[in-house]
Formats: sequence, C-alpha cells, structure tokens
Amino acid sequence: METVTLVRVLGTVICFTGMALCWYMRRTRFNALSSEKEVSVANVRLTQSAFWKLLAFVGIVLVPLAAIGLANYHTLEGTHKVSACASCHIMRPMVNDMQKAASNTLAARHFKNHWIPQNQCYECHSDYGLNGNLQAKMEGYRHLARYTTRTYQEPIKIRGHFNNENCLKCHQGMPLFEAVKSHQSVRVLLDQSSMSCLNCHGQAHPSRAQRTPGSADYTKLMEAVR
Amino acid sequence: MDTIDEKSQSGISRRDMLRILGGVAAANGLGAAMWGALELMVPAATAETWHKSVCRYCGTGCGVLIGMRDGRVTDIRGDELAHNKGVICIKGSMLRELPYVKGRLTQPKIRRNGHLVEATWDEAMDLVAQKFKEAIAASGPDAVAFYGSGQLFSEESYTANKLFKAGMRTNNVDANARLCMASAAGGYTQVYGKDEPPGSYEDIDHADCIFLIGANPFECHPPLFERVQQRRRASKTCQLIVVDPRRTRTAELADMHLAPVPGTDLLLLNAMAQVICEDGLLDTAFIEKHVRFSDGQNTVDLAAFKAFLEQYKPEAVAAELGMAAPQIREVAFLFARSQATMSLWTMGINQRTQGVFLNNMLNALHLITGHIGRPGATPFSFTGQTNACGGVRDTGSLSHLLPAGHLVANEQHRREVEQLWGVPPGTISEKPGLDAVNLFRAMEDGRVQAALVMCTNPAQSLPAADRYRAGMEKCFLAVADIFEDSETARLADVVLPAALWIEKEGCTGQGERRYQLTEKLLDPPGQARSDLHILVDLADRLGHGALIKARTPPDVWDEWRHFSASSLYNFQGMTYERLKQARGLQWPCPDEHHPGTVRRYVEGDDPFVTTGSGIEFYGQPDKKAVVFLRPYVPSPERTSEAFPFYLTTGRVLEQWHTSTMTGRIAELAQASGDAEIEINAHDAWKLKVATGDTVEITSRYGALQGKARVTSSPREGVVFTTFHDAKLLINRVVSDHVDPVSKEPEYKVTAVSLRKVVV
Amino acid sequence: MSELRWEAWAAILAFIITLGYTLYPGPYLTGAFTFIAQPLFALTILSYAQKVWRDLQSRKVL
Repeated sequence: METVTLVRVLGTVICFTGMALCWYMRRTRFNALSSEKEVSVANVRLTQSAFWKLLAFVGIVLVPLAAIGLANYHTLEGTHKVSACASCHIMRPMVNDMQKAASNTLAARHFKNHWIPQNQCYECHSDYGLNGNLQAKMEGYRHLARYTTRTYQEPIKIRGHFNNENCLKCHQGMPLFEAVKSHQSVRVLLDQSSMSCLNCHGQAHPSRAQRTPGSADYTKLMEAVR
Repeated sequence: MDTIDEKSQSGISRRDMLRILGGVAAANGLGAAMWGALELMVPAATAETWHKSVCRYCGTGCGVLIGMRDGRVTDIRGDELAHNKGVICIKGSMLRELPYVKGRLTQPKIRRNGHLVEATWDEAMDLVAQKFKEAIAASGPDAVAFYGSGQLFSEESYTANKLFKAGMRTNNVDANARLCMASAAGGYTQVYGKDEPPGSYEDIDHADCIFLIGANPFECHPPLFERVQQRRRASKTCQLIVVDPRRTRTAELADMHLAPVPGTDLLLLNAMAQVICEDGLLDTAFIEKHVRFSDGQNTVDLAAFKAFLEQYKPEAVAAELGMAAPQIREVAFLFARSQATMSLWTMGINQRTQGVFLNNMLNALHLITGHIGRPGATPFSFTGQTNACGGVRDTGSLSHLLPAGHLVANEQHRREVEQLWGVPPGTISEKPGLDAVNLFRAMEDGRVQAALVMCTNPAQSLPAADRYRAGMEKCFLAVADIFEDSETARLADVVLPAALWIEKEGCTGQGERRYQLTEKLLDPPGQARSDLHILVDLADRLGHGALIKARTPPDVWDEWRHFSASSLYNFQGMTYERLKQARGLQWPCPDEHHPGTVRRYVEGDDPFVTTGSGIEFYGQPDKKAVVFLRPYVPSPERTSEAFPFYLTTGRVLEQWHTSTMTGRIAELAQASGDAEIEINAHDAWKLKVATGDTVEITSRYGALQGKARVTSSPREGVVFTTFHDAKLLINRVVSDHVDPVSKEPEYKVTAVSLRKVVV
Repeated sequence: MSELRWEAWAAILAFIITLGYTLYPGPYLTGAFTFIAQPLFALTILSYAQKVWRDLQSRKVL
C-alpha cells in the first residue's frame, strides 16, 4: 500500500478514535467516578475511575500526539509531490513554467530532459523534507503562515539564499561537473552556498519581473496547473 | 453505568462555550506566536543590502547585484532584471574579492634612482604638470599624449579627450580600444556612416542561424554564449556555425565548425558572397532600396560586385582557406536562407591587417541577404571591454576622432565641436594624432616626451612588446593604476593610485549601445582617487581649469549628454536619475521619455528613422548602407620555412586581459593556471614535444620559452596561447602589423617557429 | 479533576481539522492544522496535565 494511502487510512482511524474518545468523556465527572465499581474491557478489569481516567489520558494526550505526529509526517512527506506544491496558486508560475517544453529555465530543462523523473520540486528543494535542515523546514512553515493569511507580496522573493547542496548532491562527482576548472577552484564557496550556482547557470524559475502582476508573462504563468 | 452522578449535564452551557472559544482563541494566539517566532528565525543571508551595479570586466556589461554587509562586499549575484537575466560568469561571481585584492597602490609614487618613492599628490601632480609643460614648450603640443582605456568611465575618457584636444591642443589621444575595437568601429562607420552595432543582444533570442566567426564566447563572453545556448535549446531549427582556427569550447558545441588557416578568412566571406550571388540567394528588393556598392573609391553596381566575386568561387579559395568547397557552399546557403541570421564576431576579425575589410564584408553579407533590421537578423560585433563603446568610440577618445562621430580631419566637424565645447575656432588641431602603435613608436624616437597612461597595461598588451618598452622607459610616463607592479607601472616615472570600480561613480557603455551607471559604494583605499579627479587636477595645474567646467561625474555626464544631442549618437534622455532606476538604456535616446532603441535604423524603434521608410540607414547621405568590394590580401605574416607555424593569441575564461586584477584572486588564478603554449597533437608529435615540455617560440619580433600543452584544439600548423600571464608575455613574440585603416594590430596572425628546449 | 469538558470539545475540533487535513492536504487545511489544531492540542494537553497535577497533589500522591 502506498505511503500516502497508509497515512490517510491511519490518520482517519486515529482522528475518529480520538473524536470518539473525547465525545464519550465530554461530560464525565471524574471526581464522581467510583473506585470500586468495575468495568470489564476484554480480559482486563478496571475500576470505573481508572477506566475513564485511562480513556481521558488516551483521548487527550496519546491519540492527539499520534495525530500530531502522523500529520506532521504527512506534511513533510506529502510535500514531495509536485501536486502538493502546485496546490498553492502562488506556485503556479514555477510549476507551469517547469512543465512547459519551450521554457529554458533550469526547472524546465531538468523536467523535459527527464533528469529528475519525479517529485521534481522536492528534488531541488529537499530541505523541506525530512532530510533537509531545520531552518528550511521553519522556512516552509513560515511560507505556509504567510500564504494562508495572504500576507505576502507578489512577486515572491526568497529570503536568505538557496542551498547549493540541492544542486551538488546530484552534480558533484559527475564527469562534466568535475571537468570545469572553475568548479574546482570555488569548491569551498559552493559547498558553503556562499556563491550561487545560479550565477553562471541562470534562472531556475521565471524571473521576478515575469511573476509581477501586470507583466506580459504574468497571466500565462498564473494559469491553473494542468 | 451512565448515572447522573458520573456525567454532568449534556449540552454545552454558555460557560462551556466561552471556555471552548477561549481555548480556540488561545490556540490561535499560540499559532500566531509560532508564526512570529518563525518570522524572526530569518535564515542566514549572504548580505544585508543589495545594490544594482555593472560588472567590471568585459563588454557584455552584465548587470550585477552587489551584496553588502557592514560596508563590505559579501556577495555578488547576477541581476535578473538586467539584460543578462541574472547570468554572470566566474569572474563576475568573484567580483566580491576585487575591492579587497592585496597590494593596492594607496599613495602616489615617484621614481627616483630606479625605485618608486612615496610622494604626496601635490608633489606627484606638480611633477607631471611640469614635465608636460616642458615637453610642450620644447616641441609643441604633440610632444605629449594621453593613452586611455576602454575601462575608464565615459566621464573620464570624455574629460581627458577634451583636456588634451581642446586644452593642450594635441590629438595624441588614443586608447587600448585601438587594439581591440578600432576595426569594428571603422567597419561600421564605413558601411553605415555611424559606428556601433545596429542590433541588440536580444536578437540572439530570435536568431535562426548564428554565424560566429573569430570569437570564443564560451570563454570570453560567457553570459552571451549562455544566451545563444538558451536560444538553441528553445528552437528546433536554430543552427550555430563557428569559424575559428581552433576547436575552442565554443566550437565544440557548434552544429558546424569551420577551421580556416589564420589570416585567410576574407576568402571565406567573399566566397560566401559569391555563392549567394550565383545561387540567386540575394535579396534584390532590399539591395535595390537600401544598398549602394562601392569599390572603396567609386560607386559601382551589383553587376560589378558579382564580377568582382568571381575570383572567390569556393573551389578557387578552399585550398588556401584549408577547408572544403562544399562546406563553404553549405555555410553560404544556411546563412542566406535561414529565417533570421545573426553574425557574432570579435577579436579574430578585428585584430587583423584586413580587420576593417573583414568587418565590411560581414556587414555586406547581411545587407545582400536582407538579414538586418529584424529580430534575430543583424551583424553584431561583440565588444571586448567594459566601456570601449561608450567611453572610447562614442566619446571619440581616439586620435582621429572627436565626440559623437565627429572626425578630426573634417573641418566642419572641428568647428561644431569647438562650438559645443565653447572654445575658439581653430583650437582643435587639424592633424589627427598618433594611434596606439604609432604613439609608442613616437616615444621611442623622442617625438612624444611625456604621456599620461590610465587604466591600461600597454607594456604587456602591445604587440611586439619589447620594441615599445624602450620607448616607454625613455618617455616621461605618468601611470594611473591600482597597482605599482604591472608591467607598465614598472616603467613609470610617476604612479598615481587610482580608484577601482565601485570606489568611484560613472557610466559605461557596453556592446549593445547600452549605457549603465556604476554607483559609488566604497571609498578608495588610502589616498587613491578616481581617474576623473586626477584629470581635473592635471587640467588645473596645466592652466586649463576654466575649460573643464564639469568636475564631478554627474556634471560631466550632463555636459556629454547635452553634447550628444547635436548628433546621431543622441542619448540626451539618459539622465543619471533614469540610469539609477533602469538597468541601463540603449541609445539613441533623445529625450527623457524615450525608452531607448533596441534596433537601430528601424522605424518605430529608432527615433531618427523617417516615418514611412521602414528601414533607413540615415547615417549615410543617400540613406543607403554601403557594400564594399574588398579584395583579399594575405597577411604579411605568411609562414615560411623558418617560421612554419601560425601563432594566434587569445583569452581564457577565468582571467581578464593582463590579469592585473583577476590574477590576484585566488579562485580565478587556480582555475586558469599559468599560460601554456597549445600545440596541435600532430605537430607536437612531429616536434617530439609532450605536454609539460619547455618549448621556445620564436618570431621575427622576439622569442620566449614556455610550457607546452598538446591538444586537439588548434588546427594543424597553428599554435595558441593566452596573453594574461606576464610570465609568458607572448606579445613579445606577436607581430605589430596594423590594419592600414583602423591601425589595429594583427594579434591573430604571427609566423613563428617552435623548438623543444631540452632542459 | 472534575471535568474535561472544554478540553474534550477542543480536542474534537482539533481532530476534525486534522482529519480534514489528512484527507485533503491543501494549503489552508495545512495552515489550519499547523497553526490552529496543533496549538489547540497543545493547550488541551497542558490543561489536562494541569488538572491531573492538581488532582494528584490534592490526593497527596505528589
């Protein structure tokens, strides 16, 4: 079974379980519970007090923690798919451009030449996932907050800089890469992301000018993703 | 089980509701607090503030963004809003190190007893002024000279030009741009009446056939080559044809590579024209309307042109070219029949004894096939230096020119310029001054006794360099530079510490007629000053202070731009304010609302084109461009038994010119390495030379020893090296024949011999 | 502790958001989960923990 489906199924089960537990204990007067009356669950006999308190613990602490854990995993892994990125309309220019055969941006070239067969966004923006660093994930959540509250300005601009490791993890060690003398001499600067690969290799995505509302390319780029 | 005691009332009371809402509100508050924390966790950026600027190096003139923190440059990015769309090269990326290179000259120095001794500005400038005055008093104004640079800001070149030609009244004003762009300037001016490429870099985005000759943009104009590659990736039909005696990094990526014998390529261009005529590939309608044929003296007709070309049939010239006739026919066909053909060329064409003729012919091929004045169709000469176009060609800072296309030799032009400069008629000498090579020869024979050299390194960059060193030693040389140990500064009598790049403010004009502003972001080190400051100071000390009314970059720019309004190089609309906002503007730009001109001579784009004419070559009196009948003359440097190889010189990606700047940046020096002599594998085998062996290369002008590198790159019979390395000062071996019209030296063709040195 | 009334309702609300997010992970539900449901869970757990603590204290267990 695919991870996504598993997550969905598990998530549904956990949430319904949690909801049920909480529903049943919503009116429980814990002080008034008996320490003598017993409740039988399978082979276990618990006092009424113990039973409901256990239920409370599970329903208020354990199941929510499980839900939180699963949902965060869902965030970090679900964002691998291009469709996940495309679900925010502000990303449409990047996704549309990437899928356009006539485009020459790095994203489009990697896509059309099948250099990255799937999960294209994530492959270059893998900081967001479980493997990346904490800072990138925090950035991701910040983007979420900005987007959902519409407190961003178009065209969006990266804060900080892009981690070259995302490029180097595939290109480093490859013959064409290693043959370039400049790559060798600025190795340290590239590793530290102190010098951007994009300086020589051009835009990864449509430029800010193209993504500015009112520009000639804006409408085309903002069309709904296929 | 569910007794009333154990369960409270069902339903949600108001208090419960309040509690829940309170909880949700608290949760939202917590969520907001989380968001706030995320906002504050700003990821480490490479810089705090970003500033728009222009790269210091080549004629691509890339827009860059300079990242600064605490007053220091910490990062450089390509400017995605500039014409280069964010692409720069490794030299540009390493600009972050440039303001901090070690060994900067911080104080003026005077040579006493062979050593440079620190001096004050007053002492140094007084000495320079005194020497100039003495020379002028002894032998007249032509005893002094200015040798400037395509890397000075336009304001600086303009001021020097004015000071020397209208102040000191000598036309001995020349620049290192003579060594690279003079043939292109001459070629364009002869054909269109006015200098500078009619097209733009944007034409690359629309070209269907790119004919690249005498250029290696992969290494020398990398962002432009990336643009070519972008075009090829986007287009299913675009073809790249490269003509180069070497299989360069550019040629390796071409669809077709032709490798002519050095010095013979005018045969190729004439042969292509012959095929175009014979096969009926001419655009006769275009020719009828826009072209005049000339043999250099008189107007002739198309029939005469065709008759002239008969001797250049592919079969007749293929052997001398070192190519196959079918290749020539194929190239001619591709050139003529593509949807839009763009030619790109640079030093391989310009640095030749037939440089002007080659330029004429490249333009001619476009004119006879109608590949001009449309997107993607244009003859485009790449410029070498940051500001050869704007600062030297357009300001007329060459010995035969005056600003904005005026000629020294033309009396009416002189009167116009005198009027614009507010000097009495007759002030400007009618005698054209000394061009670069002749200037340094004149130092040798004592005709020029004092010279100011700014922002260039002729001791390393002049051909037959040894010959001119003696002259430079003899002459009183004041050198403004950022180091005291360049080959030229070593010969100086006075070295003046100059400001570098963003340590001063000024405009540069790159290859596509785009003027851009570099703003001052740093202070120069120690007592270094901008070249403009030095020139104004010299003017004052020589008694020409009143002539130089404009003393700051904005003032000079305003004077120059108003001057241009009287000409077809009109860029009056480009105020500093506009240039601060825009990523440069392309001239003609006659008023402040004009957006600049992408394609010259095209109606609707170029403001000087008469309405209704479509395309108009208004620079010529009859509004027609001239196609010249240019006969091939072999280079004086023919190979012989004594000198069986052709030496051609060039550049390497990671180094700029004589590497005074880039050589001091570790990452660039490591990448380029030292200069090596590239020898074709077959030739190396015959000479019994392997990579790493020491070889001696000898010409009629000098001899040098250097390390060999065996490669398949140069064609057989050709050797190549770069001129960036003072340890292999190849210009000592290179011949100094010049083009008779442009006076540009032929760096690309020198007959040499090679011998392995057994150490 | 007497009741976990508002905690239960709050948790139910948070579970509904989480369920929605799990099944339809679009930006708004992701945002709702991250910035509303998660803090809501956190508060309910804290409130519950506080009540348990008081309860155990009052019975002299702690």
